[in-house]
Amino acid sequence: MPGVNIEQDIRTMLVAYGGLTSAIPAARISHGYRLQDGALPALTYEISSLSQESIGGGATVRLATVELNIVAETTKAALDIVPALKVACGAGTYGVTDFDAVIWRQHVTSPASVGEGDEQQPAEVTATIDIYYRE
Amino acid sequence: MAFNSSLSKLQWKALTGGTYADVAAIGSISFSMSRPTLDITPINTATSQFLAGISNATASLDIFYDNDDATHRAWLDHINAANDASFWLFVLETGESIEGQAFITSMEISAAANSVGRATLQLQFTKAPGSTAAAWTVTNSG
Repeated sequence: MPGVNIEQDIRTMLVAYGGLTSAIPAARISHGYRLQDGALPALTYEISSLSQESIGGGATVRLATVELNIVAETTKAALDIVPALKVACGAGTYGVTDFDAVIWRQHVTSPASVGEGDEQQPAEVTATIDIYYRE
Repeated sequence: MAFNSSLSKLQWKALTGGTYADVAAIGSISFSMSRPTLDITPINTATSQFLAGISNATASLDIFYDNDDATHRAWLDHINAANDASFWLFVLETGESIEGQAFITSMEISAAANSVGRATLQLQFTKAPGSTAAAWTVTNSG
């Protein structure tokens, strides 16, 4: 049995929901970073903390706190994706991993802004979720 | 020597039949062993005197309650059916163990926003009626 790759399994969870991939093509959903000149909207994610929640005996309960960043040209475009992202972040089996509970903790919006010259900073919605999974 | 609690585990079995099996999703476990004293200090004395009292042991479990887990459900059934005390075995990472027979005296299931469901259990260790065995024992393999 292959080992758990939680980063990969999170991506599996995200791309499993067609409602999300119809808004953000799966190729633009990536772990960690995206190219600055990449097409928008895009979604990046990274694990901000990972901890063991149960003692031994049976499958170990672990908690991954994950930050998801929706990047879009406008604030509205970014916020319009939030409902689909909430649905995508659901319990289930992804890869070889059982996600027992996925909890949407919060999201914060950073509006698009114009910098020096014609430079434009895209809008970002940063969501934080907790994933309780067994390994 | 210290032991790694993350690698320790709890096992459980019913009073009759069955064998010990690992219990999943145990967040924490704590044991409390006590032996209150009996004060026999007479008057007109400057120093307290005591007799050793009756020992008692309880335990507390914090679990990630899962209704699909057969053991978690069995524990609820034990309260509901007022079952006899069952067997509990806490195996330390280093191989030592604490084993005893205990009733589940309470099981409190809780749910809160931004969290997962949990349950807290209280155990009361007891000697089996008519048995000369202690309510709990410690095995040291080290």
